Amino acid sequence: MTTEHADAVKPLRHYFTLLAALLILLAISVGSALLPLGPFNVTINLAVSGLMTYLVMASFMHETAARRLTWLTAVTGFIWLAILIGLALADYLSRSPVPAPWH
Amino acid sequence: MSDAATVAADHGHDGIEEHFDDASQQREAAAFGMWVFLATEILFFGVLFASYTICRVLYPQGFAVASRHTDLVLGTIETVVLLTSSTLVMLGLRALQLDRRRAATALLGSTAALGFAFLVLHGFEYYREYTERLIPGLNFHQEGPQARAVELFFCLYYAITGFHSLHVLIGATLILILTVRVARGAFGPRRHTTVELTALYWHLVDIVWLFVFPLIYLIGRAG
Repeated sequence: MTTEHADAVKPLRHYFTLLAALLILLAISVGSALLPLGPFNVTINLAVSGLMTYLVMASFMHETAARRLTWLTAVTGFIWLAILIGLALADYLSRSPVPAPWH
Repeated sequence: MSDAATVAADHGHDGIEEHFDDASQQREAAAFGMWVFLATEILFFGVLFASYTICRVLYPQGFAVASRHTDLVLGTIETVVLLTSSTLVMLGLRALQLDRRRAATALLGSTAALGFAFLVLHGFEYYREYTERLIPGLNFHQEGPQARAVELFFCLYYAITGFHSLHVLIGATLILILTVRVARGAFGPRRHTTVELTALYWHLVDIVWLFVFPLIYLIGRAG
């Protein structure tokens, strides 16, 4: 059943619409970077990258992860990444730098 | 599963290993294996991104200065190249599912070509950075209060883009090999798991770049 679903061929329009959406998002990301938005520059850039990742995964990759176990494996990769960056930042952002005695 | 006739027909095909019951089980096992690998790849690049994040938090101005030394136009073109190649590989897979072997060969060949084009474009960037003395350890000389942070940025830049380019090289080579195999008729509408999973790897390489691009090229561009 899963295989039959996965093998259903999508119309060409699906692929071109997606590519157009990705290129528009890229233009938004680059365009916004040229405007002085302060901390919102990086926020917009990363939000757009996240959205593009979602589009690529949802359109191109999710069919191979149709099985629950496979899907969980994929999600686990991102959860560990969030833990890695989250805990590293929790440390660096909450600590005041202590200069070495010779500084 | 429910379709006993399909299962029986699958067993008649070559390409189903004896330890699998049917084609769908074999395909699911292969996809699971690939996703386990991709999860480790996320963490491989995750460490580099975590290092980047910490250094950027510590030296925000230095990173903005350094980012302005990178080539925004080439970086944007490279992003377009990778996004297009991800679409082409899916169109190639679609052609394979529809049993259009010549179209599939052309589309997969174009995907590999775009992958190699990405590497050539990146080579131009590396060359220009060499002439501008921006390669730490090899040819680096910058003046100003942010020089040390710029050096740190470029260390991370070469580690991240270098490993990413290595992945592009591996992915493009795999797709090139698959192109030859598709041309020889090794895959068809019911046998394309290898192509599908290589495409999966290619998308991951694309996704990694979607984060490399804003973090390396797009900071400190305004004002």
